[in-house]
Amino acid sequence: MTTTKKKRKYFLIPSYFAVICYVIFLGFPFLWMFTTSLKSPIELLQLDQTLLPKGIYWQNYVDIVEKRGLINSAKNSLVIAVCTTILTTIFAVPAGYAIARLSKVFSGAATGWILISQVFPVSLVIIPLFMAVRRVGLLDSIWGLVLVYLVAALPFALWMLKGYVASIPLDLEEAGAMDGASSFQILRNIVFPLLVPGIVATSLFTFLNSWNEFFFALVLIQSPESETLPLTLARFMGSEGQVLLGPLAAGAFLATIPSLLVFGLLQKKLASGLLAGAVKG
Amino acid sequence: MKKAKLLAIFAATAMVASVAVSVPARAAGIEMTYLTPAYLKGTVASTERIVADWNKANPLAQVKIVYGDVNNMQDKLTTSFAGNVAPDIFQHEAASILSFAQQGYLAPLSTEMRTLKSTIPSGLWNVGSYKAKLYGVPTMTQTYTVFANVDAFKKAGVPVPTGTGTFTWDDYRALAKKFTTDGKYGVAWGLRSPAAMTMIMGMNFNAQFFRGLTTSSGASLAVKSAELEVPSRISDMIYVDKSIDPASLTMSGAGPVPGFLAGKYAMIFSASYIAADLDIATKAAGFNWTSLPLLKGKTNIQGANPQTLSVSAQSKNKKQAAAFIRFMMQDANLGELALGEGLIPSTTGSLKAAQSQKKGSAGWQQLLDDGSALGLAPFTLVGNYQKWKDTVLQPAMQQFLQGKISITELKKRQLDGWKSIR
Repeated sequence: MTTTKKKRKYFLIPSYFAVICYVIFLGFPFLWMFTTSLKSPIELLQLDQTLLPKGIYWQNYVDIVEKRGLINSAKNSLVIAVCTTILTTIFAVPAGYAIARLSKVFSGAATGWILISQVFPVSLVIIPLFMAVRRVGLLDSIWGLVLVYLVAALPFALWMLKGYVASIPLDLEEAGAMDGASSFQILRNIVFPLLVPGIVATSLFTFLNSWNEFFFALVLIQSPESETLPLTLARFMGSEGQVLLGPLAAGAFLATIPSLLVFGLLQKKLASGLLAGAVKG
Repeated sequence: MKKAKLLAIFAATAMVASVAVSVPARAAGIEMTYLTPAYLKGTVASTERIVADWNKANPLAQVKIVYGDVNNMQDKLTTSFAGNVAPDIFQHEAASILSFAQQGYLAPLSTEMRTLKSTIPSGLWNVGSYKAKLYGVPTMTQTYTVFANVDAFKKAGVPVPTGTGTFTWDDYRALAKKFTTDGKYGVAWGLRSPAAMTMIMGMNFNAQFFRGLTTSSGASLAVKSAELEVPSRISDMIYVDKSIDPASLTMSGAGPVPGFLAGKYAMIFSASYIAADLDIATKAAGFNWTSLPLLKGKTNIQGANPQTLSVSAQSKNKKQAAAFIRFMMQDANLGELALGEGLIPSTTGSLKAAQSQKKGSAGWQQLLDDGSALGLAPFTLVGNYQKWKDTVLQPAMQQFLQGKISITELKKRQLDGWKSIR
């Protein structure tokens, strides 16, 4: 074994240790949430809580699924989050490209508009927004929420994608043009592959925001059939710090799974896009 | 071609006819929405049972339950009223419905509920009223009281206080000191959000806070010795006697319950709703608890901020909505709902029903017996009370109880805060 390899090996041990510690740090609350979801009400009232439950209590899961309509809420949240993510990406990718590549005046005006749109607090816009959604007949509809989330997500998605586009050297596009590629071919074969990590990051951000959003849903959704997951979970909490901890942990655990799955599916793209460097060899 | 046209006309006629036939059937019945913040397992089951009974008995006036989040009811209702899509019936706390009544969003219920008036203590009835009209029917309310570990009292040879109007703040302080031994604190008191509790308990010392409620210039805030008595006594127990566990100061009202069940404290001070948790512990592990008589200063009266049922002025079915409220207020229904929440039902009949259901439990009997000591809390009639409580009193009280500001500063902040809000 060469000295360099030995050195690298010694360097790897603390690196792996640090990674393991970080994973435990991130994963522990998730583990605690899962084990809490398996505890009975009486066990949850005890002073000395243990990580592992003393007995497995599945009733928390039965209650949230059968009596609190969690599956229906999860279905609504999934439809809303997926549709919002797809629509946001469809609008934000070309718009982000345009803002990044077009004239400085247009780009400045567009980014200014994006920033201004982020200035207003939710409490200021909620009633006019409520009226507008009601006027177009989308109150108490998951499509109304998709529309609102799309509007809420677009400025930040545009901002993110504008940055990603700007980081792609213009020389690459010019080189493509010199080689006779059409504008569409340049976008499809040169820009888009390099933009994949940006699109994935933006999509993840949009998905998670739509999945977790509470306040707009609280105000715009009226009937139990259209309820989203955060609304259903909020109903496990009472006033003055009262909480139905078992069912809440069970609901929160189930609510985390889709986010993890989406991240698991997309994270390869995130990494592969980053590795797809412009200059090879 | 002609055949196709005829077929189209026939199909269109059939469609119109089918709609025409279905309209009278749909128009014959109505559906009302009932927004409730019920979330505890027992209360949800009771609500669904009551609504199912109503729907069975009233096939033409169906009620649909809509569950709300108790911590966001105000936002939900504000936007619903503004958007003209308010629920027909809703449950909310008395202090928060006042602003809706002032803005004309609520239907007056005095006439519809006149049969209930004699069964509800006048203090509670008035809390749900505005300008002599009832807008929120008081259903159930909580009291703040001391819960005791009976076995700890027995072990220490200390008799458990009983009766009504017999247990004073001085007795409580002495008991807390007595049980503060061997590194244990006598009492745990979840004081993370102390504002509402200190105002409600302040009535023990005739604290009014707001005066001139009916004057044209509006209510004015006065903070005198009576208004500062409760904060001062709590502070003495924390810092002079050291009989309150300091760890509990940042807990919610229900936070100290696990420590209480584990025998860490002989007493905890909390709202009556924790009785539901204590019942679970009694059933599972035979935990022996009771509630002590309501604390008495000059009186044992506490301010009431009950849960109320209201009808939206936007409802097209106000009469049926009021009838549904009367159905909910039936003794057995209200008694069951209140016990599920650990609250005191408002009508004399439902109180009796609850008492008979909890006959074997000394703690529950004490809680229910003390239900009559609830009076009108003047602050529930003040429009800006909620804002002042949340933005001024709450942080000031938290800082005072953490020993960061003096009682003089507490008073100053309350008065200055009210001036800026008005």
